[in-house]
Amino acid sequence: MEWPSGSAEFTVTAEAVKSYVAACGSAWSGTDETVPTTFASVYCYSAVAAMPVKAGVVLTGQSYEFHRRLTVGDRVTTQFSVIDEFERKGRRFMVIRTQTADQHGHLVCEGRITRMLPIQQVEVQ
Amino acid sequence: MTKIEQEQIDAYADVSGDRNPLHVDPAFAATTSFGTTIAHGHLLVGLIGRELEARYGEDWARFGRLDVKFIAPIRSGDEARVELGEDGAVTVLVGDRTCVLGTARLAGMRSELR
Repeated sequence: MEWPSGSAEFTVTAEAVKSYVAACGSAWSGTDETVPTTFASVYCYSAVAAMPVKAGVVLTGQSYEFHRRLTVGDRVTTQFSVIDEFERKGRRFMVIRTQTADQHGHLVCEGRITRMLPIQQVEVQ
Repeated sequence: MTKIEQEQIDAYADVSGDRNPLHVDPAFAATTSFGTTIAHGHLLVGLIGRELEARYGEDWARFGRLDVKFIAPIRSGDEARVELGEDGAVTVLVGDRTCVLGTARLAGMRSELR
């Protein structure tokens, strides 16, 4: 099965950061203009959402390497690709690599997402 | 300790766009082995991240390395607790049940939680 790879842009808005901080129930220790590092999960998801799968996919692992603090107004581009697929205990897994850079081309964050796929055949559009 | 309310899960779904029905559709989730909705793994990463940002400050944004595995679900209504070990171990627990296990460190040095 051929999985798509690609990239997606995301502009960091104050509203999105505020909503993220509220959703995580945190008292953000940064300023109004700075962005929590784990906001990476938001802009990375916007990229890997290009790989639709049936309901029931489960996140089983995540790693991040952070390189740069984002601020509100930054525009990031996340490239993603599937780098591994494997089976364990009768379940199928995939590993997605992400690499995010800001509008100046500076590396912001690298990540690896491990997903357990639903038992049903995965649909790829 | 953070109580994971469905409203919080829904709020994370709104901001992230991750509307997997395992998280936001109680009727669907009831048909799965989880029995009810579960928190997004990335929401839990957010809980971990706030602790690490508080510990490491700006160093975390430039050198932070986080690697976690989600080994048990955290359901809507559970109370989650993040623990950071002196050796860099990261754990999220519900009661005495370990739900997330991983490591955190600053690149090029051993994790030293102060």
